Amino acid sequence: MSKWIFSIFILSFASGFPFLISQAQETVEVTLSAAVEGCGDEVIQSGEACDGSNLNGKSCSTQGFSAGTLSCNSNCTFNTSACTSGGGGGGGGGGGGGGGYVAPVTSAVFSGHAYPKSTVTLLKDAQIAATTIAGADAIFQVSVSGISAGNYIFSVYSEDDKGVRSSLLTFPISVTSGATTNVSGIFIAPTIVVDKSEVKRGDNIAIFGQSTPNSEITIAVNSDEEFFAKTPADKDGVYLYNFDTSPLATEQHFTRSKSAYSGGISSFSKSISFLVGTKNIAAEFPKAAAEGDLNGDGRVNLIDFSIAAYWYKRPISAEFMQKEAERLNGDGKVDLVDFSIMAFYWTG
Amino acid sequence: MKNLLLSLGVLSLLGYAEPAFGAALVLQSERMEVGVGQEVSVLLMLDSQDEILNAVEGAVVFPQEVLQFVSARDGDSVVNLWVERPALAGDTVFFSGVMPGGFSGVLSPYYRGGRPGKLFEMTFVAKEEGEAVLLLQGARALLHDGEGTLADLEAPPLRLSVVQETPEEAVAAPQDVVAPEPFTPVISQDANLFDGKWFVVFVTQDKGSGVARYEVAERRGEAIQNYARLSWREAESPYLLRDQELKSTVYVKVVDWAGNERTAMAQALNPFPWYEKYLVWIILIVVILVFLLWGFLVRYRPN
Repeated sequence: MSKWIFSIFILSFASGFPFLISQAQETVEVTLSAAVEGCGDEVIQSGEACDGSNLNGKSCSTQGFSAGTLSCNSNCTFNTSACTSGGGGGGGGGGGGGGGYVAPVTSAVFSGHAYPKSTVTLLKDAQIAATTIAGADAIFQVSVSGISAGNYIFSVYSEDDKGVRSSLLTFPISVTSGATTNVSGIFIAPTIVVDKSEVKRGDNIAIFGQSTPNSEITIAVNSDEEFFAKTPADKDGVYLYNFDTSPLATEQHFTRSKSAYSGGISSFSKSISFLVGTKNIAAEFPKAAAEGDLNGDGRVNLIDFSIAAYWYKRPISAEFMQKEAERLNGDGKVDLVDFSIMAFYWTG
Repeated sequence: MKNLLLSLGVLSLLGYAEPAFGAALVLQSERMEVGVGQEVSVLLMLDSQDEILNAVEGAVVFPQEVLQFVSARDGDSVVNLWVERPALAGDTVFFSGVMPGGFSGVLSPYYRGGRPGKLFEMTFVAKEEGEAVLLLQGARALLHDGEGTLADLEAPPLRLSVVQETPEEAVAAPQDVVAPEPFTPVISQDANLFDGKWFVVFVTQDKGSGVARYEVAERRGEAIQNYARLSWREAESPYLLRDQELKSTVYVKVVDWAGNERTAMAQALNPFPWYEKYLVWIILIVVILVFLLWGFLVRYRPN
C-alpha cells in the first residue's frame, strides 16, 4: 500500500513538474527531464547510467575528467557539470588567464541528443541565433551569449542525413542577468518518412528516419485503435520498420515516432500521412518545407510571415489564392489560422 | 499513518490535477483602486495551462469615460511576431500575434513548471470616479498542432475602481537603459508582395519598455556609421524599397519606448561597380591633372 501511495506522489510530481531545476553558485541550471518508469528508485536498471545517489561506481575520473563531483540527472543520466578538467600533461595549447574581475555574461546553453553529425539550429525569438554540428554520438551543445535579461522563446531543431527536419522543440525561458542558463537533456524527436503515399491494404509500408544511435524507436500508427511497434536505431541512428497494413481500414492514416535512449524519451516526431487503398504509390521524398513556405525557398521565416501579413484582412489576389491553398489552410483568406500553421512549421 | 499518507497522496493528486478549463487570457493590474488623474498599468497575460499555443488575438475594450488610453507596450512579450501590434482604435486595443515553436509557459530556474507569459502592457490615466470594466472581446488562441485548431480559452474581465481620493502612487518601474535586441534586416522579392518589387523585412524585440517604432533609410554609396546623416522615415515591415535598383545600403533603426535605439543594415545587393563611383573618377581626374601639371612644369621650367 505504501508503495502505491509513493507512486501517486511520483506520478503527481512527474505530471506537475516536468522540468527539474537546480541552481549552482555561479551557474543557473535548468534541467529538462522526461518522466521515466523506474528512474528515481535508486536502482540502476536497463537504460539507466545512474539512479539518484547510485552512481554505479562511477566518478568524474571515469567519465574523462580529472576532478570534481559526479552526480545523477533526474532522467538517470550522468551530470558532469561539476566535474573539472585541467592540469595534466600532453595535449595542446590553450588555457591560461586568470586574475582580475570578469563581468558576468548573460548567456544560455542548450545541450542534448540530436542525430549523428547533424546540423542543430538554435532559434532565439524565432530568428536563427546559432547552429552547431552534433558529434558522431549525436550529442550537441549550442549557446548564445551577450543577451539581455528577460523572456526569450528558444527553439532547437535538427536535420537528418537526408535533409529531413525534425519538429521544433521550444523552451520559453526567463533569462536572468549575469547568469548562464543551462538547458540540458534535450532529446530531439526522430525524423520520419514513409515509402508510399498510398499502400495497398495488406502490403507493408516502410516507416523510417533517423534518431540517436542505438536508441529504441516507438512507432505509432493511428487507426480506430492506435498501433504501436518498436524497432532499434542502428549505430548511425537510422531506423526502419515495415508495418503490415492488414489491420488498417482503407482510409487516411497518420504515423509518428519517438525515441528512447539512456533513460531519456523524446517527444513524438511530426505526423505524416499515408492512404491505405487499393494500389501502391511511391511517396515523394518530403520537401524541405512545404506548409507555410510562401516564397518557395525551403524555409519558413520572416519573409514568409511578411508575405502573409501583407494579405492579412485584405482580399487576396488570384495568384496568391493558389499559394494560400497549397501552403496554408486554403480557405481563401489570410487570418490567424494561417499564421498558426506557419508558426508550427517555422524554421527561422 | 497509512490513512494520512493516502490523504496526502490524494491531496497531491488534486493539487496537480488538470484544471477543468483550458488556456486563459488574463488582464491583471497591481492596483485595483486608482485615484482620478493617476496612471494605472494593466498587463495582458497568456496562461497556457497544459496546452501548447502558437497564436493569439483579441481586443481589449475599456470605458473611455473613466479611463484615458496612454500606451500599449510589448516589452518582454512572449509574442515574437505581431500580425497586429497592440494599438488603439476608438475604445479598443486590438492585438494579434504568433509564437513560432509554440508557448507552454515561461520556465525559470527560480520556480517549477511554466508560468503565464506577458503579451503586452497597457497604461491608462483615470479620468473620473467610477468602476472601469476592461473586457476581452473576440479573444482566441490556437493550438500548436499545424492546423490552427482553436483552443479552449477563458478571458475574464478586469474591474478597476477609480476613486476621488488619491491612493498611494505605484512604485515606478526601473528605467530601461538597454537597447532593443540585435537583428538583421533582409532584402527580398516575391511575386505575391508589392507586385514583385523589392522589399526589406525586419523584426526585433525589446526586453525592457518594448518596441516603439522602426525607421528605415536608404543611401547609395559606401555604408556609413554616422546615422545622423541619414534621412529616416518611420516604417513597418515589410517595407517597399524606394531604390529598386538595389544600389543603396538599407538602414533599419528600432527605437524603444525609453528612447534607446539600435540600427542594423542590409548591404546593397547591387553596389556600384568601381567605374560608377564618383570618388574613383574624381581621384582619377586629380591624378591626371597633377601628372599633366608636373609634365608642364618640367617642360617649361625656366632655366
